[in-house]
Amino acid sequence: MTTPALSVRDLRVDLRLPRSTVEAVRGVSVEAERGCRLALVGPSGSGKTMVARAVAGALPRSARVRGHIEATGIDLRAERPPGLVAMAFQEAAAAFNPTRTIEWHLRESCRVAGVDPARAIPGAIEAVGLDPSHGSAYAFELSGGQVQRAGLALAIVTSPGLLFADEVTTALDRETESEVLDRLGSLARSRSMTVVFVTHDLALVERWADEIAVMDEGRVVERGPCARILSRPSAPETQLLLESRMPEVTLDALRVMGVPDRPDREGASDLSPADDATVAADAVIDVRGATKRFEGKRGRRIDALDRVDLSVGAGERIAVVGRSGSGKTTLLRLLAAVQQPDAGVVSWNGQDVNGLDRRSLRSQRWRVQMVFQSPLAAFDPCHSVADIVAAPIRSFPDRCAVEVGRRIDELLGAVGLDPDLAGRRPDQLSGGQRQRVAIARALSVEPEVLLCDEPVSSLDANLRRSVIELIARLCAERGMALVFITHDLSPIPLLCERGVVMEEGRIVEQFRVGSPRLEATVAPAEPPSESSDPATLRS
Amino acid sequence: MTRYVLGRIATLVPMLLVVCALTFALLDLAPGDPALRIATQLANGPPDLSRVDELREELGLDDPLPVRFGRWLGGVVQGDFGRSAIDGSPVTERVLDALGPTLLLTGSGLLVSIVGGLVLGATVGLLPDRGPGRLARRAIMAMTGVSFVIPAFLVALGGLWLFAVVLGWFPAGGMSDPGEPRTIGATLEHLVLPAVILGIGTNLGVFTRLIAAGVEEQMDAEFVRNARSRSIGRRRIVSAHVVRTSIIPLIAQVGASMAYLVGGAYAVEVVFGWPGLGRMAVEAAQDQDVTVILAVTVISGLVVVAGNLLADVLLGVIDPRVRLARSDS
Repeated sequence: MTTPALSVRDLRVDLRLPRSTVEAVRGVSVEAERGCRLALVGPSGSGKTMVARAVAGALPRSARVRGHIEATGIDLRAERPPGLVAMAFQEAAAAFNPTRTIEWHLRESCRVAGVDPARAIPGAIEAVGLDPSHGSAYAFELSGGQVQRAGLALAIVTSPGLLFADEVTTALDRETESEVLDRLGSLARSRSMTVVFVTHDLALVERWADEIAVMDEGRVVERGPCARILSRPSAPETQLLLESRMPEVTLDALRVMGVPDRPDREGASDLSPADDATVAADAVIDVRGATKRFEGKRGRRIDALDRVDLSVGAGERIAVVGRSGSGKTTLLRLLAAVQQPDAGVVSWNGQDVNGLDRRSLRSQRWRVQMVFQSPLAAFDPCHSVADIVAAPIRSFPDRCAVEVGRRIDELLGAVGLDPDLAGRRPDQLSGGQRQRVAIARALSVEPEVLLCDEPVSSLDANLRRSVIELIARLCAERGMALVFITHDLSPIPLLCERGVVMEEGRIVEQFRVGSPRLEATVAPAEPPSESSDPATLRS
Repeated sequence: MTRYVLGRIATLVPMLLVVCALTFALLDLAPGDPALRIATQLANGPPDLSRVDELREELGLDDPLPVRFGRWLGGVVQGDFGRSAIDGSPVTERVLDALGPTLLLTGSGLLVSIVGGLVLGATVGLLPDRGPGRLARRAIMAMTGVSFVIPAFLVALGGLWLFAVVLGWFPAGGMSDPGEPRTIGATLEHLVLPAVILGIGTNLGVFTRLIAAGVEEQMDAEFVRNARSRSIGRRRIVSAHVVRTSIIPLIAQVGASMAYLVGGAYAVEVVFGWPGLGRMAVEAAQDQDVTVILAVTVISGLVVVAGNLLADVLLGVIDPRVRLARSDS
């Protein structure tokens, strides 16, 4: 009988908080054979990351562990030989010491594990598809997708026998994700590496995992071969997970569903919206010829936006899609008038916002409200939910006809939150609850336009769907216009009537999505044409 | 980085000018007539009033304030602080003589507080908050609390009495024993007590608490958890990861506390008879020797802003985020 690469028996992890103890993991037993690819899946808070951290020795200080953890027969609670187990963290940027370069970390790992850095480091960097020059960068200098791959490189540089990959592809578009996982797969095969994916992404599981362990509330509720569990789940928790899955959508599918934008116009002019005269009249926000540059390293200039035209009509719902670094967020910041374009004009209701003085701009800000990608970073950690939601009302008291406390209850109700949560602080909420609070805050002054920057990309599938349906319903009820940035195309049919595709700071394509339907089912018959067409967005 | 440093130096010039002008104007308001005092000294008794007028003319004391300030500033720019109103000696030379001992004492005191703060702070940050460790933590924290509230001169007097007078471990003052030559060994022997007292009396408490808070927080930071998962040993985690990131706020604090440090050094100098700028300033103030007071003030201002600048530059060296933010702007 062979010793399994990973053997966890009756693992319990308690997190001791100041006033309570959370049982994060309640008796988990998992085994994985050498070379196996196991997926730990489950909703957020199900304890899957804590299992990985317990095995990798990366638990927070407040954690207490009980149970047996063995890798290739070695008791990891007693000793931890270098290079045996590694873990790539979900928040890769935080996993690097901010005062040291990526390469410094890679070298440190090599030295401790007794691996030759001259061979291991280039191999690891290549395996994750990073540019070798990124080694000399600090984590905070890299984009979200780059730093995530750097974190993965740090985990695999010593060729560990057992690798935990905790949501390591969430910041990557589908094409890059495929490339990275392909290379990781061949690396794992050539070194008989056991890989444990910790993920909420069932598409990834379907393609990459051999076995699945489904977790819920700190327990494993179902285990088995990938194909069987995805096709014939027996545990109700697994069924729920599969049901809440949103269908994969490609840009081609969206084009099939919609009609070409302004077919009467030709060629390149097709990409730009109508002339100034026609649009500016009824547009809530209008951007014309907007250009924004940033100074890069050593004076290199980065064109974040290059002569972009976009007009948002009253009540219109627009999706902005594109790869990371294509200028989506910069465009949103210009729309919100939190940044000024270097050239071009941004107007709200026909008024050039650059021409407004600070005071009158401030008095108009209620018109455009924003929901950020990471609500935790966008909230004051000391404020309660009630403070956060009411903050815009304090700036615009005349936008709120009723008494503030009642309005808060109303708003929390509208986003499906229990009013009892009003006294909690952001870190005492789950990810889905936080994003609902962010939406409630944005709605508090009844804006004309809601700007959303990847509001669901950090959420689980089931939460994702409910937040998207919530945004769709609220827009429909209130006649609010919406600009929705996303690298995941699946919410678009549910939410938007028009889409724009960005590439390298330009809008390269516009399309109509047909009428948005809340219960839309995306034509499942369409062939998965991932990156067969070079113009297809690889997202 | 070079551009950043040059830019910072450029902003220091107007700041020092304001310091000079304010000091000059304030001293002009102080009572007393230098001409009368010099004449008294020269005549060794009540002077001839016409002699006082002559002196006043000679020294240019009748000119309006801006004219006198301009004349003085012109000299300062060329490195000439004028002559002492008491004995006519060149002030620049005297100030430069006293600057060395002051820098030695200030630097040593700073070193004591940084090294002590690192050791004590890391100890507090790494000790478990239970068992005997808890007691040691509490004890160190209580001591830092005490050092917050006691001013430097009181620490100096107490230390002098205990270690030099009662225990006799260290010499009681000066930079060398009277009559003996100033050798390096003798200087070091005389330096230990005032430097340690300066370190404790000014910044040790603040630095200890800063480092303790930093180390405690960073030991549970995500990048330390990651290092643990990479089997990096605890000793290396502390030395290569945690101390490095926790020292960043300390360096920022060094820059901010320069004025406090120099002020503390002057108090210690007076108590220990250390032949530095502080003692010189006190003597000059007693004699109302305006030119010396002016020179000491300007040089002290220079030391403070130079220390500040040095700390800022060092911050950029250690923290790449600061460095990159600077090269962007």
